[in-house]
Amino acid sequence: MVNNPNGQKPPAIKVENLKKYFNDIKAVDDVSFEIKKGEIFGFLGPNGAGKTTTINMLCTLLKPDGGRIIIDGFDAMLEESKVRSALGLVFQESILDTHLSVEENIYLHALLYGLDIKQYRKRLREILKLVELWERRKSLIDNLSGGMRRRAEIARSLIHLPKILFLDEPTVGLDPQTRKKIWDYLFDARKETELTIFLTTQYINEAEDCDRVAIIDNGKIVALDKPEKLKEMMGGDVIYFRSEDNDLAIEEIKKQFPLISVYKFGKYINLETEKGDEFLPQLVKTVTPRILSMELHRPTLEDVFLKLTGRKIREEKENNGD
Amino acid sequence: MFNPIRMRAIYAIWRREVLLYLLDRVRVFTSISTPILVFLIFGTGLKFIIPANLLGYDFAHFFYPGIIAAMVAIMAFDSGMSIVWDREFGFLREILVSPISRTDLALGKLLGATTRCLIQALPMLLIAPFIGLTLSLAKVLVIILTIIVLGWGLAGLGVLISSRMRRVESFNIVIQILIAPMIFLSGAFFPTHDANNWIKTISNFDPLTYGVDGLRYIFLNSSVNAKVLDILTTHNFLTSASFLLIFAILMTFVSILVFRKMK
Repeated sequence: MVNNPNGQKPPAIKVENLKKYFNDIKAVDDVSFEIKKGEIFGFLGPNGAGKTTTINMLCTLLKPDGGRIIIDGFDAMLEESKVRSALGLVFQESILDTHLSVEENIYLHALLYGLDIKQYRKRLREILKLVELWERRKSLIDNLSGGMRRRAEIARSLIHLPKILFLDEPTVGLDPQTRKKIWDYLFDARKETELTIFLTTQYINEAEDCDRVAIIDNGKIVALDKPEKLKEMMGGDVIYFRSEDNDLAIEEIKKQFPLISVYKFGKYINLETEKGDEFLPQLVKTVTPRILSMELHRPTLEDVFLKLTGRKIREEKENNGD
Repeated sequence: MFNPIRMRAIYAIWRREVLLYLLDRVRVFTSISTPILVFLIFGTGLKFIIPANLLGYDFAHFFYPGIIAAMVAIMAFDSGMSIVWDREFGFLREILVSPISRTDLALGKLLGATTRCLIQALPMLLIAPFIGLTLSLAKVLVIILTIIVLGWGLAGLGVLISSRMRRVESFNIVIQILIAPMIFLSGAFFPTHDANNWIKTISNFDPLTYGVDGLRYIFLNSSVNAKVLDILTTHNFLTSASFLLIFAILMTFVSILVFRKMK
């Protein structure tokens, strides 16, 4: 156990100056953060930002090249097995044994994590009811749909009452309905115990459901706060528009409204302003090049990410440069 | 050693090995029936071609322990190497990230492989009375022990080989390149006692040779006279048993090392 001099509740996860290099690539570059017990903490970032590398180091699968990880009071590098017992893991790709039934998969997991048979029986029913797989417990994983497999995997990861649940892009490839259901289960599971959830995602709406979000890009945390706070970084509403001559349009806007934040993004111009609905008519009057399209919305984490990194989280083809 | 949490973890690995085998009904049926068929066809067929009075012994007696040793070898190898499949389908990760120690993981794996060998080989023993071999309880126990030690060691060798393999495609090739010579050189199907020197030399390095000799000795020592038994085996029982035991212990450590290094 790592001593806690202040006597206050130790954090679920504490990461200090974590580093991981693959040859010359800094996959995780001096990352530090702390996660409170019972918190849902999201790692938001594009593919290759270093999310999975971080998760792999946190769950002792990968040795860091520098820094310190404390999980549930234990040093992840020194007390591997104690850390592992405290974790529940759901990876991007399924790691169920497809030749075995849901129940058998969960039973093996319970044995591996040292649960005794009484505890197991009690938990199994609860947890399978929670993810609505109790009726399907005898089915082979092979015969389950993608969404059911994910739920089975989440049930398995919760059977041994982990203190921290790691979810690496848990809902990739699932339809929105299933995605919502899985989130409902997770919130229920958190209510039940003081479960801490750490998840990585590239879905904005998933990140917005987290208590706090770290935006990660190129192995660095570029922002970390509550989703609302992050969105407050944007000056009010966000306007996206496209004109026949973007450079000229920007020049005109800067001249007319010097206080407004405006920048170019690919073929679009991004504008942050308060009361965007009232600003739109003025904008149309100011810009002389013909306007091709225009959009106004409340800021999302996508906008925050765009502002901080100059890129979209999930790059679409049409935005790849001018 | 006997802490309940460790026991549960070893049991989990063992249970999965055995379950995966038993759930595959077709595999259970073919793995048990094929050696019996091979024995009946080859054993009785060759018996008529090479009559006992010419050979000085009954060919079926020679062939029978050999085929049991060979089937144990195939099963043990196959089980040890199944790690390659576990990696391919992702389940290996579930085990590797769990709190179970790598030593227990290796022990569970080898126990499971050995159990599979026994499940497959024991029905073969029912044939013994029909070819005129009497089995006492003590004999059956020594046979079971020999199968365990042989299967354990070869499963460990399978684990070692699988650690060098990254692709499932190479699985069958490796099995064929290694298993076939291993069986032919072991003296399972023809006696290596009077074979070429080079065959003899190589067969001394073949762990299965000692399994074949050990089993042949136990099965035949009360039915065949000592002179014949000497022709049918290359090494005596003590040498065979000691070799198998040392090999199994060595392979236990090797498997533990392999699992410790596994990511």
